[in-house]
Amino acid sequence: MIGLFARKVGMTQVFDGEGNAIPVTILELLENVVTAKLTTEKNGYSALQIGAEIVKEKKLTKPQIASLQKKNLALFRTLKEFRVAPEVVSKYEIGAELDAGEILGEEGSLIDVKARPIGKGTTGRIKRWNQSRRRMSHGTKHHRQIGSAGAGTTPGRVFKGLHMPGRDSEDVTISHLKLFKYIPEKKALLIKGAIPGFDGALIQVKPSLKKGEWNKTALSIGKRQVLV
Amino acid sequence: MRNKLIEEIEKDYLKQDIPALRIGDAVAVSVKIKEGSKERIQKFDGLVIAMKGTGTGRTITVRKMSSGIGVERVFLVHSPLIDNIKVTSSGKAKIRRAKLYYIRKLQGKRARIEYTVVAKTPKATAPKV
Repeated sequence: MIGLFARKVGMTQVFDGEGNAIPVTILELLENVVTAKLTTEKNGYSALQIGAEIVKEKKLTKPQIASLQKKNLALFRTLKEFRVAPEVVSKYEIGAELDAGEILGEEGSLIDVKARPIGKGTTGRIKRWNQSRRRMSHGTKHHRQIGSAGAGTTPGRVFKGLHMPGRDSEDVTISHLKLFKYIPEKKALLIKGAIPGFDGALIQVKPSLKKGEWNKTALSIGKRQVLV
Repeated sequence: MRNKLIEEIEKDYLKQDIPALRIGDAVAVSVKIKEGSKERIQKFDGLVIAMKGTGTGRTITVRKMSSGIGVERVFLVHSPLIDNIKVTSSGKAKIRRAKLYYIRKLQGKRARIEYTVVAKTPKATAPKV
């Protein structure tokens, strides 16, 4: 199922036909260009790679720039594969821009949204890395601390990547949100309700997986069944 | 500071014919009420004691005395359910607050709001000799 990338602009409220005030989140769609086609014969599964977020040259590595320039594409920071049926892959050409109206459906259709929320803040090692705590009673004065950060004189430093307390967050998917309106001229999506993330955050928008109608066919990939 | 795109989108939902409202204005708000399939208009006359929000979320709080009991209603100014808003007071209210919540504690004559008298443009008259 193809997803689209957008930026969260902010929230407001608008009125529907009956005069109800509807809280909506406004998303601004990014470029959403097909950057690669993956086929069962060549790759073992069929998928479309979508690119979004055009950035300056210095933001990417040389291999990244070369692979995009070889196909005459703009410099996209975000590249993501979406599993789709082979018929869908053959429908698109590399460099084609995706049509949000076609993918997300009419106004009122259900969509899923994936984004990085504003986070859990500074968390301890137990919550962040699933470590265990020490006993709370029997005279011990160490409960949720990190304990040792490593050996002493040898190696004389703390290893990189050691699991420590700090800021924590993980991607969240919100299902079955209603598409209130799509304004193609402004590349704006109005989605009913709140969406995770800061204003300006990168958001992934997909037709609803569980309740959506868009091209709902199961595709078996090895032992797994994937809805595309 | 608001985002330009939000403002542009809100523009389609804003009414153009809203009178200039000020705190302390006496207003008559006509509200559309649906009863089954019928629709009628109910009036709410009162005093604007607060204004909040911008864009589509702009509201006014209107207070009136209904048989001795104070009644306040918050109206979304740009809502399609509001038929129209009319300012019934003349002149500017003589008040020193941006929110008139203190009026809830006052009764009778003290709960009145005075208005500056709007000076009529004097007609050109012949100078006295």
